[in-house]
Amino acid sequence: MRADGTVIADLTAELEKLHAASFGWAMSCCRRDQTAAEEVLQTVYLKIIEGTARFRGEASFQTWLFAVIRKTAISEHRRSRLWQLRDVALRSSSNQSRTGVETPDAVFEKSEAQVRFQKALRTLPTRQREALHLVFYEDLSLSEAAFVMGISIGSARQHYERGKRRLRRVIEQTESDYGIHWRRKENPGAI
Amino acid sequence: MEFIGDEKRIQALFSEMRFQDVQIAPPFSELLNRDTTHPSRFNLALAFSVAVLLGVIGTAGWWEVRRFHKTTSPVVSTEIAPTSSALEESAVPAAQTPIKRKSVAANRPERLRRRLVARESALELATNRALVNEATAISSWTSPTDALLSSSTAEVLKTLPQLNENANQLKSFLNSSNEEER
Repeated sequence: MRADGTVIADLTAELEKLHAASFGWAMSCCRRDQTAAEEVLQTVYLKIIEGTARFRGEASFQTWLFAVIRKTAISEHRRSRLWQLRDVALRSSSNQSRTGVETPDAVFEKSEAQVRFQKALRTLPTRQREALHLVFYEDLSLSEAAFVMGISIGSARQHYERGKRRLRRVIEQTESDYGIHWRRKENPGAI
Repeated sequence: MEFIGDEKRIQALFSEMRFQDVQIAPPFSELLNRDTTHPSRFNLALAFSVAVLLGVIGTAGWWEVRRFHKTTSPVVSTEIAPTSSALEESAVPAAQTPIKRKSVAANRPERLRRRLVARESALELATNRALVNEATAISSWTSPTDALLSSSTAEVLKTLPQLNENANQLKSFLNSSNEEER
């Protein structure tokens, strides 16, 4: 069933407004693989515009959109796992910067801290990474993050806290490996 | 959400990441209108069924090769073959006491087991046949001293007295004479 013209226009405007945030979330869901993130995002947009995925107002449009992106990314990942294996050679030869394998220039442009941070983020379990991303990157509350992840708020809080602790540990470890030692202010009320 | 301490640092790193993502993000309209044709999308279900089929064929082939090697190798029998002297002592035909062989193929898969059982039963049959022949030979055995007991008058002792007639003729004569008397 196709939505009518005005609804499509409204949806498109809403999607465009949230496009940057959606892209960041899609990147996170696709483990920083840009091509996969773009494909997922395009699929989600088409799903919404064609009426396959319909917003029923259980949450805000943004959290619903993020939940759709997450589910689509998971299903796309499952469907294309073998295809990606087969296609790795082709894609890496055609355009490296679009596959998540960054060119040396791009890596150089990033700060060292950012590179270490992204490496540390990759070591986190998916749920913890998702919780941290939704809270810190997308500025969502824990209840909104729980809705996006399809879990209870208690579980979301646990993933968030554990993820934070683990991320801090990993970053500290990498910094000590790099010989960087600096004391940060301990805040007992943070956790 | 208010961030404090380490959280601020984590948020700063996430903000930096967001800034980079915004730079590489494709424009909304371009992404929406992009050609969706993929280079021949891999059909996972088809790939799975083909993989399963290949697996089955491979396993069957491997099994067949294994079975061939097993069946061509000699099967060691744990049974001690019966000697003729033992048979004489028992004086019972071997066919009545079929030899029980231990099943070598007790734990083999069904096809191989059936084949081995058939082979074993054929072997049993051949062994039993040889034993039956031996038993027949034994039953028709005569003592070598029998010849000493035979004499030229032995025939006279075994037959009825005759008056120039053989026994059959005598019988018929007796029957006919009896009927005439009646």
